[in-house]
Amino acid sequence: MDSDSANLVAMTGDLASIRARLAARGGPALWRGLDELAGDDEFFRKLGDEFAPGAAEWDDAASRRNFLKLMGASLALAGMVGCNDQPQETIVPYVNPPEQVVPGRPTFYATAMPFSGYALGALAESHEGRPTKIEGNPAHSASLGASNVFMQASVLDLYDPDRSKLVTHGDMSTSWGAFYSAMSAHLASRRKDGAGVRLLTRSITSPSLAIQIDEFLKRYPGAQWHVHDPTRRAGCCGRNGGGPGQAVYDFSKADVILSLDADFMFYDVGSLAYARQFMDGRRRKPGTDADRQNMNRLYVIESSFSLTGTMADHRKAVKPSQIEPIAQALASRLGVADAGKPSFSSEMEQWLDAVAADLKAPLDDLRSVGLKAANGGVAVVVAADHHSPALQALAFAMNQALGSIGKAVRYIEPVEKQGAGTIESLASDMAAGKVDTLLIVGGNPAYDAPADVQFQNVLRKLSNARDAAGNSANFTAHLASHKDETSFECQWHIPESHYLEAWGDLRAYDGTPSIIQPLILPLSSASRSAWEFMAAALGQPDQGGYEIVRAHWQPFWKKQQDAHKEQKKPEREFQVWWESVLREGIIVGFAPSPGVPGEGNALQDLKEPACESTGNSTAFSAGPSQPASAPNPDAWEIVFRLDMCVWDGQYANNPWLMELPRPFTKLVWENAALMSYRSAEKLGVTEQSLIKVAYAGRALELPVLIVPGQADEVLTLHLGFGRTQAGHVADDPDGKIRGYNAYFLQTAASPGMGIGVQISKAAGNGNLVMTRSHHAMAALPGMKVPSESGRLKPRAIEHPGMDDQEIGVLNRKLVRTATLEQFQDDANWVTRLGGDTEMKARGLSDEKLFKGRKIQLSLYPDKDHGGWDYSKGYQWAMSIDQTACIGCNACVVACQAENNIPVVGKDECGRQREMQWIRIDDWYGTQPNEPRIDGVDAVDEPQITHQPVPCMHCENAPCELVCPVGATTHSAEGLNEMTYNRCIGTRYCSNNCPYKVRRFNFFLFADFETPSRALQYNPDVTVRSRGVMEKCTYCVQRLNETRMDIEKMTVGLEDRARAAEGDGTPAGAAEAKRIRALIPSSQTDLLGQLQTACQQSCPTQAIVFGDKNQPNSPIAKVREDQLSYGLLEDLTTKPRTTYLGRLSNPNRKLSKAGVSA
Amino acid sequence: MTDVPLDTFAQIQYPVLEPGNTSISVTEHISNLILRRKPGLLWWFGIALTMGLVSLLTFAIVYLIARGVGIWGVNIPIAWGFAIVNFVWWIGIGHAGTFISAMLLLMRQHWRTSINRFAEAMTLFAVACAGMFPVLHLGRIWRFYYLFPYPNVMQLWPNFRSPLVWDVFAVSTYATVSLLFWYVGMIPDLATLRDRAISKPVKITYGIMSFGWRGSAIHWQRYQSTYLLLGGLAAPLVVSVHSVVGMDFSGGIVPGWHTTIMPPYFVAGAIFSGFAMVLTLAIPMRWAFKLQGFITIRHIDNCGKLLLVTGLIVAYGYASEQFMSWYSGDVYESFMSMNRAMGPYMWTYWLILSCNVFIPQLLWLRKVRQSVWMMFLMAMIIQLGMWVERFVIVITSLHRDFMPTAWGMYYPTFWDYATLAGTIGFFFLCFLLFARLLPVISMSEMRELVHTTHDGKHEPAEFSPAYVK
Repeated sequence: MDSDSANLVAMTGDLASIRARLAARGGPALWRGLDELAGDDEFFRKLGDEFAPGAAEWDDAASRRNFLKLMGASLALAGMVGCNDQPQETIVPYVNPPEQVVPGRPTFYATAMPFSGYALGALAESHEGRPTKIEGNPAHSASLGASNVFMQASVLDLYDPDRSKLVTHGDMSTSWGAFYSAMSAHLASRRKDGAGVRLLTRSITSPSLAIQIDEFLKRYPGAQWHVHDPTRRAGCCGRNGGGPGQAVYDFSKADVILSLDADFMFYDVGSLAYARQFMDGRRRKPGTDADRQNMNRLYVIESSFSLTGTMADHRKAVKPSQIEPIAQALASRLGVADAGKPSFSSEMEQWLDAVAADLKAPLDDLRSVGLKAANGGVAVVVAADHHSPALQALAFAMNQALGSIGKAVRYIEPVEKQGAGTIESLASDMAAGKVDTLLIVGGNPAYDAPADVQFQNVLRKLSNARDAAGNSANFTAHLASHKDETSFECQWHIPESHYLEAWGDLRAYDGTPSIIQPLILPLSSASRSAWEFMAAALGQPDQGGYEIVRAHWQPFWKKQQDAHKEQKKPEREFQVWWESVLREGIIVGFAPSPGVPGEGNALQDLKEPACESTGNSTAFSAGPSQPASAPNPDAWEIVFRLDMCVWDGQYANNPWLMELPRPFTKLVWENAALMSYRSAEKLGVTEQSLIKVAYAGRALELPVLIVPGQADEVLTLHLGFGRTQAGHVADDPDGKIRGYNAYFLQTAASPGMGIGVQISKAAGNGNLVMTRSHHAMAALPGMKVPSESGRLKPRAIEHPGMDDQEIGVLNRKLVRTATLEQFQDDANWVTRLGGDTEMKARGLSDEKLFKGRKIQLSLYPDKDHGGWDYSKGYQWAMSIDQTACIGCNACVVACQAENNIPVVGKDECGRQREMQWIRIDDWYGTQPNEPRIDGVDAVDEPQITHQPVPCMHCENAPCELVCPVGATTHSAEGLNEMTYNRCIGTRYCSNNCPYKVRRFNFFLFADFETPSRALQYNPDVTVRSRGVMEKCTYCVQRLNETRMDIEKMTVGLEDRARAAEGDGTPAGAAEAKRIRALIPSSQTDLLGQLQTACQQSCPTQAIVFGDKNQPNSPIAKVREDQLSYGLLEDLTTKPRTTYLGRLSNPNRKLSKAGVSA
Repeated sequence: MTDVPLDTFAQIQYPVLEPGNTSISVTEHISNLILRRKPGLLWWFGIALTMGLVSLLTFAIVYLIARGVGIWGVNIPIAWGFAIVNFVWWIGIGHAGTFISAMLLLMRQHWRTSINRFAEAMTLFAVACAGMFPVLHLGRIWRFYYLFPYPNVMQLWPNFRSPLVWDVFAVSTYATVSLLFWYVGMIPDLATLRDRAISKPVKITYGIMSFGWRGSAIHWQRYQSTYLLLGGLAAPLVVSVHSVVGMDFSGGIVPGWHTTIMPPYFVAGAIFSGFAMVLTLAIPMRWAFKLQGFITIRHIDNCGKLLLVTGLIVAYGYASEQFMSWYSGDVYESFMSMNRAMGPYMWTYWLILSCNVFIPQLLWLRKVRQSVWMMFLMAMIIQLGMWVERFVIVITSLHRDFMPTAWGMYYPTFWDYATLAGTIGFFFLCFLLFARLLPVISMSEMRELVHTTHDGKHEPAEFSPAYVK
């Protein structure tokens, strides 16, 4: 029976009951309406089901909340399904013992989030049993307390109403039990050795899952296991045991870092730790001898801007095919034998010489003011994992030659389980009829397999094949969170539990294992985790994840005890250990064994990688000893990258991530073809023009987006878009697909890049939406973005030594950058850039007149700000270090999750109504040094400075003055506060905000109706309604909580001190004194723990926040720093949010002047 | 001889009132427009058109309240759009009426007499249109009363530092005084209509409206002093309202707003656009109602001169803005000026210079001033120019202010245009009804004018005939 006829029956059933009710009434039958007659709303609700909730709004594209409404409508049901009995499994909170759970106060549990298959240690915030926010676990080596956009947004995935809730067989919903009996019957009917049985998973780092797979393969010796994971495109080297192992870096130990196309600060599975380490080696240490002395240096060679590239002191944009020859040239300069000697232009040779010299003798160019390499001169080379094994081998050889192994890099036994087949071999076996049973555990290969594998087609054929009797010949099943593209091609679909719902274990980039601790019962009782699915495949359908994982770690615990030769502890001691593991979030004592690099010439060992399939020969699989083929310089090349927000496509239904402005392009809701200005000019296309990209026998049409810093004739496509079965968020309201599926052009042999791309103009334009006026600079008077030479002219950065004669806009001192040497020469350059006013305000200008005397910028007395005395009480302030900010967006999503910030949809973004409270301004600027020896004008390779802009909380806030109803006012603690109830939405405050950080609810953006959405909301933050202004509050809810905690604590202490004094004895007085001394320390402790959401998430700790009245607090110190300045301070707004100027550390020998010196 | 007007020459060549008019002819002509004349096809056509626009306005408002201000093109950074542009424009138009009635009354300008009544009506209708916008543009329209210092248990007051609060006071005061002034001035005429009405219901209606006016000497005496006092009260309001509106902008720190020239410049601009609207109404009206004898070329010529003067003040404002942005050395101001003249909205800037500065220079020519068609065209051009001027002030200032990363563009939506067109419809609907139901020219004052201009002998106004049957 189809659903329509089911509805009909339900309706007629109700009509019958209405008739009955009517008949039961005495007298004339009068009724005002059927609802009155029916006496309940249920009937009409059923009638209304013909139209989905919110369907009336679908006609208007301006309404974006319709999808959230729709998303949520069905989850009410799921919530009810979740209310059934589950076996009792105790989970253990992170810090607070359960007996201290206070209603209204969140509890934090340590868990681990799977990120490209690897663990990121997380602390999940739980409000009365519902997870609301994810933070990094400070104890976990991969997150170090920080988080990335995916961690922050993953909590919304949990509540995604589009998640599947039922086991389905074809179109029919069925049950887990039915699936299990079908699977076991099928497996039993096959030959005993299991030939024809295939298992397809993503990268596996989970120790217990790895053992389950081994057991499965043992039980079915003929079975094969394959891995397909678009997020882990490791070359064969390292994956299948042929290479030196997996590289684990410690960038804090490196003085010079060379990245060969590796975005180790964002794409890598260890990126959070790497970003932190990198900044540890880069950050100044004010107040120590090392201040202004030690700073690492980063070289990046890449094709398209990456976040790591934005941090580079020297960056070279080259075609992807050039990266390996460059690596060879550098390797041979570093003394690696057999590296090959490709030749380049003389400028490039010079450049390479200088870089090689710097790698050999790090930071040697710095003047003798006392600068020296902090780590004794360690240089390290990082190679991207999406390049060929040869590049990995070259990097390994260079690290060996540089002696950095064991210092800044170590090679460990691969963390991922090895020995899997590829998806290509699986697909060819399927096509050849060698496969009859396919179990797909997670992932979405029908969508994200490279197009030439044709996986979707062979999977469809496999699922639909019939035997002679007309029965299904094969068995295909897919475990996935959504009924996605792959599920539609499989016979069976089993809902997958979210990591916050199910037990599991994972290992981090350095091998450290963690337990995935669930925080909530599965929202759908039908959902299973990968562990439970594998247990079913092994014949135990009812085994829970808890049992599986716990049972796996018990032998490990025993072994650990035996190793330590301690007294054998009783079994119940395991529970103690187990609880401590859960509480801390990591398992210690599970260090991965180091990889075994070959003796002698590393390159020779790596020449024959034990790779299952070498694929078609491309320029990239050329062995290191072969001379690098010189590709046609005019040929277009293509680069595939994971999208920085929706990743490989698994987050395509997450509205926070869809609407997150991509770093430096600020593109939202879709992807585009990125190219350089010169290339676009050559093609005769402009931004938004549609182009047809033909590559490897397929063609895709998509719009152009012009980005600076892109190598010419290189096209960058981001994967993860163009989903067809992702859910309501991923679908356009018009039913169109969002974005363009770049997997359609990808080849299995060379998934990361390729040459031989044909690009032609296509008719029409795209409708790309970027959250900033992309060509703001283009229309400036006297300023054209593309100059005649096709170069970008984005000079909007203030820099010492640069004339600032350009028209007004460039002279606003918003971003201030300098080199380390300039900083040494003039410690006050930041202030000096601000001009006379700032110099005088800081008492720096005209020594005689202003020595030590600060000049006020305003005529009004300094104290007169709303009657508050800012020298008393808590005075909150924030500082953002622009040297450290890598622009990763984690703060933006963290803020969104913490503060219940709605999403508005693509159209509203296009109308400049996005709601994120923090915007990250990316400023392109030129490197300040003298002409470079490679002849490249720095304008071609701009430096990007990221500037996150939250509310400035001006002491003299222009917004407060103009609000007619006093809805935005200043607090005694220096906060610029919004009273939402009072706001009537005149929007004058936004007009008068020079920073434009205020956000307005032009429509009812917030979702008050969807039950599942409500579960995620932070109960401490108001959900704003239509027509009110909102903005960054400095997470005032966190400040209030801390203030109350301090008050509670100090009040108690004061009482105790008084009680001790009460007896009048000297001992009592001493005790009282001791207790009173605790008061400030407890205050300092609590203030030290206080973090805003953005600060907490920041991987590089670029954000400092606190009470500036605490004399020794980090914020008080950083505000006095020489690099500290405020935006638009000349307006005398007195911002509480300040910035630290950006420092870079370019190599003097790369400038012509430096060479001759 | 002391009573002979100074502009005798002009008086003879272009009289304020066509010779040959008597008290009776004036009264008959004007009251017959209401009491004896059936509305023509043109009037019904006008009513249909304006009713259509008012329906559009109603729909736009209902939709606005149902959905939110997001239906307009406003965004961040341009959080004020058409609503504020229209508000300032309408308020400006509303200035001419009171300026004619009060300022010219106090300055004893005879020529005001035949245009003051409909100019005052125009003021009221324009203020009504203007008054809608500050409420409609609120995010939470249903909370508009927060703007008033009403008593509430929370003891909350509006923020008196905000110019928007003073805007509320200024506009509401202005609307109240204008209404009183208009109505008080109309009482003797309403009595005339009462007395000349044929049908009973009309008689009763005008009778109630005329507050029992009998034309006794004491009535006249009190009437005249009340009218003069109200004129005295209204005169400063002409200056204050648009000054306060100007301060809405100069109170902000936005480059292009934050300037002391705003209040006088706004007042001049208001009178400029107001007189343009007077001409827009007077020229078709004198044709349709055959009022050429009352609203003469002299009036049109005088309006032209006022347009020229106020236009020059406005031009001075533009020049001063440009000068100050250069002279101050302020980077933001100088960029703003540059951006206005050469940025993406440069066409609006050059349009206002053309409409408000260059083209009005033709008014130096008497031929232009005395050509009805030329003046009508001129009025249209100036109305357009003044609307665009407010667009430039509101939108081009906001779209590129301090942080280049937060710049934006403004794209008005259908609803923006619908609301503007709707208020224009509302304004003309009100005016068409006014022209049918109330005397468009003050009969009592016209009779006084007849008396002073044609009798050759001057008597105090108090002794002029109260009404003529």
